[in-house]
Amino acid sequence: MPSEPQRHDTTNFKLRLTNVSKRYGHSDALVNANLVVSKGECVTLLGPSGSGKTTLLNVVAGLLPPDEGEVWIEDRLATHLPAYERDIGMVFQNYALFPHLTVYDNVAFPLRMRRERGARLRERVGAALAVVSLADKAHRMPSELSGGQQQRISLARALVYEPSIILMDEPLAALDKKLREQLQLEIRRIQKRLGITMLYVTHDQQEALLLSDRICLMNNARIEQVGSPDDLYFRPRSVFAADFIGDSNIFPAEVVTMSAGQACLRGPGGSTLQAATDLALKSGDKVQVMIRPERLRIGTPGQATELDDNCVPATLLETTFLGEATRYYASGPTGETFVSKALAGASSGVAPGEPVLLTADRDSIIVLSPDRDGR
Amino acid sequence: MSAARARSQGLLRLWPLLPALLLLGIFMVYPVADLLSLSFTDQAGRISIQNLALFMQRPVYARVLQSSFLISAYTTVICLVLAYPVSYYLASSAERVRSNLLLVVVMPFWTGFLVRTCAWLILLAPSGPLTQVGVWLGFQNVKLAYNLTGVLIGMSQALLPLAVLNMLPVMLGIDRNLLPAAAIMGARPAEGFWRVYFPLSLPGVAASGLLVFISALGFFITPTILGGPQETMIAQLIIVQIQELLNWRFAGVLSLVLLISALVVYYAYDRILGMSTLVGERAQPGRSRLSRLFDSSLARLGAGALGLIGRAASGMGLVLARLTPAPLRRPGRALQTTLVALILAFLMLPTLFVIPVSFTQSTFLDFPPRGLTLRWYEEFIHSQAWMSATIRSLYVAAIVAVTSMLLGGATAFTLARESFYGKKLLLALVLSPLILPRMVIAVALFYLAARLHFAGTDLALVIGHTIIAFPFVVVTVMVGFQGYNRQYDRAAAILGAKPSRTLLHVTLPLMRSSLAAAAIFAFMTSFDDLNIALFLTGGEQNTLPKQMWSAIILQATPILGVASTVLLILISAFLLASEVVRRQGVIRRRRAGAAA
Repeated sequence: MPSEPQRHDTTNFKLRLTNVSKRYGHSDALVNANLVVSKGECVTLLGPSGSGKTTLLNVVAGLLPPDEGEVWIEDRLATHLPAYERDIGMVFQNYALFPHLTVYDNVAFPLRMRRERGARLRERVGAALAVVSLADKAHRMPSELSGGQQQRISLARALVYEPSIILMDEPLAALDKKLREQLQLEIRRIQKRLGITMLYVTHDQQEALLLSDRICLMNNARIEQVGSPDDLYFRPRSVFAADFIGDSNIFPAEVVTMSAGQACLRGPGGSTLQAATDLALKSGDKVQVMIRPERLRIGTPGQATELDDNCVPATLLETTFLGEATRYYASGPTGETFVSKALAGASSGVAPGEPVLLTADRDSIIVLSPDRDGR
Repeated sequence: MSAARARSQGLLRLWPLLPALLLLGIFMVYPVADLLSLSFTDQAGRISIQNLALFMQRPVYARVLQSSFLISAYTTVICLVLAYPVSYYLASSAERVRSNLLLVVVMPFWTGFLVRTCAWLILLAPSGPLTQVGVWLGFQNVKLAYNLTGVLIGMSQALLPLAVLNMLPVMLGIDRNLLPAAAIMGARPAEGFWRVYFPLSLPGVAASGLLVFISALGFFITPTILGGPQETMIAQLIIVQIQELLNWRFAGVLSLVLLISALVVYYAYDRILGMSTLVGERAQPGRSRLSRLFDSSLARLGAGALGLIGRAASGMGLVLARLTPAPLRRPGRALQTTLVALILAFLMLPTLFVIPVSFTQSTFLDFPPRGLTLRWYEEFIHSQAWMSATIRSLYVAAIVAVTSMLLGGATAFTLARESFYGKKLLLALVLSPLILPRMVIAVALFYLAARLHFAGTDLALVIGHTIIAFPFVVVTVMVGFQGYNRQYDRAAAILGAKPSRTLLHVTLPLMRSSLAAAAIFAFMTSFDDLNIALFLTGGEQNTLPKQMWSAIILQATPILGVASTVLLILISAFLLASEVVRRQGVIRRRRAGAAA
């Protein structure tokens, strides 16, 4: 179980989940989830569909009672608090604007629930609409607005009452790509400017990388890894994490020696790989190793010898030109396919069918812990 | 030339509409117009308003009109109050539970008003079990039948399914995230319900109210059997004028009054709320018809009224939420289930009382049955009148199913696939038999058939039943077409199939389940009808409902229990069959979806 990094300020948290589990019949929807979200932080729940991210969000929202574990919102134990007493905000994928109320009345709704009225109410609704730049649409009906505008109204409605945390359930999934990218930036900007604490569900890794202070990667009803976008991209812990975010070369290797965080591995074709790792490994362990395509260099056999460390001999299969970069596909000693990506311009001068040598720096070689299900 | 040819081809495309239009034109539009114009002539055939004047002058007619409206209004209110929790419960249930419960709602709807009224007659009679229970509970002067109480019990039970069926689509259309969204923003369950759910469900309530009211206005079975003289309704007067007094002109006047009453209600509804709410579209004050009719003060009044109801409801919700003691504030699902179970019991159980009564040894319809005998079943089987009525009902319904499928199918296919000028108008005409009071259609057709000497024949019955049954087919098949992807037809054509082969091998098989549902609908409509049969059958040529009606009027013996049981069993069998067909269709579609 990946433990929560201690460098986060756990005394100033807005949300804390401890050992939260939820089952439906015999299938697990969420297993032993631990997560802390600090003040002003945006954490995304990223994972494939069915990985438990929406279950986790609904547990936080109070729409789903957990079977085990505790939910803390600020300093209140909220595990069994009804949704309307939790003081949180939520933005839904389909906006969930009330179709019978005007934009103004929609945004005023949570304030009215809090018995706010008069000038103060008007002022706060106006301010919230100004934040999403839709003050001029106050007296329209939601159905008269575009999808992007409706989602911004939905955001205004979630932030108008300054809830302790705003939950976002794939809010941009229904929008087209261009609008989605524009709104991602807008949400990020508003979140930073107002210091909003946010828990954001998405299955889109680009969105997660762009929006998050930290990403909580989920798979199979479990939290797979929690870390900054940088952590998840460059230092994934599992095959799943390495595979889910970005492109990757993943291949098997065996531990030869292990000393002081340095592993010496036997890779494809008997090549020797040197890598830094904090995993507790011992000689003879079978592991998976990951190298990002842009960290895998392709060269002609003359530039280095295959007796050097971190070199794998291969045969070039195909070269594809992507515009800003070139992608090389090569076949390794035991038939596995490697992908290398280099910025365009520096042609390797190798034709398909010719031998090449794949090399990587020591800190680009990531040793992954075996998955729980033994993949 | 080519343009002219294109135009004629354009019209030729529409030939499948012709049979339906001829049927409606000759046997509905013309006779109804004829009957109504009769109101404006005197005995010698000159134009005169003496019959209309008669209607205006005699206070008895004003009283009947008033009681018709009052009974309909009360019935509507009772139905709405009972239907709302049921619909809410159905809308918030899982799909599986919902389709099972829906069957419980739909069954009584098709079990026929006649059988159900018969059951109430047994239960509410002065010596009946419910009266006895009332007396036993210590109430003085319990009188449940032959008065307003009896009529309202019978009519609201009869129309409750209609109210549920029209509320449910609107409630199902309410986004399921809205209540959680309200809760997260701090709305307690009661506030969320009254401020969000209730206002959004109002269009469904309004549509249900309209249809229940209009249907109630044309009722004659329940007030005749369960009411007293005070509860006479306008449709009953029409029957008396024709069957006892043979006064066509005055029947025409009364039909005109019934028709105008219905149309006025429709018109007012359209003006105030907009017809679009009828087909389950959500009324969106900003965009609906209301805004287009904004210059009409009536519409503004309507929008205001809806808004006011919503706001009043919100306020009421707040007060209720504060006044309700904490333990009752969240009526748990158990409490809701109990309430809904009671309402559904009111819908389902009374009908079942006809079964034990059919085994009684006494010669009256009484409960509990005395002794146990099959005597009445023997009598039923050996009675020429009952058996021939049963058989006639079955084969007429079968023929009507076929004719309705041919006419309705052709009409629906053409309307769904072709677009042409005046299509909406045509659709309105085709669906008008669903909207016009059936009594008016029946009387008008009888007037025509009597003069052409084919009243009392099976042909007249088939024509009449086809007119009221085939619009159901049109609606069912057109709804089926909404889920049909025209790409399949295009693919077949590109692969080399002629239109006829495409129809046979692609379109019809894919539409299988809605066609089956439509056929069953048509069959049931004919099998259950009393309006048309009341006039267009005679002597020995009865249908089962007509035979039952005569028996109730003349002499209510336990053989009625037998007939009701037979009807109940036949109709339940058809309904279950149709439900099986429907579910197979759903399963097939799911499988197809999973494969795709």
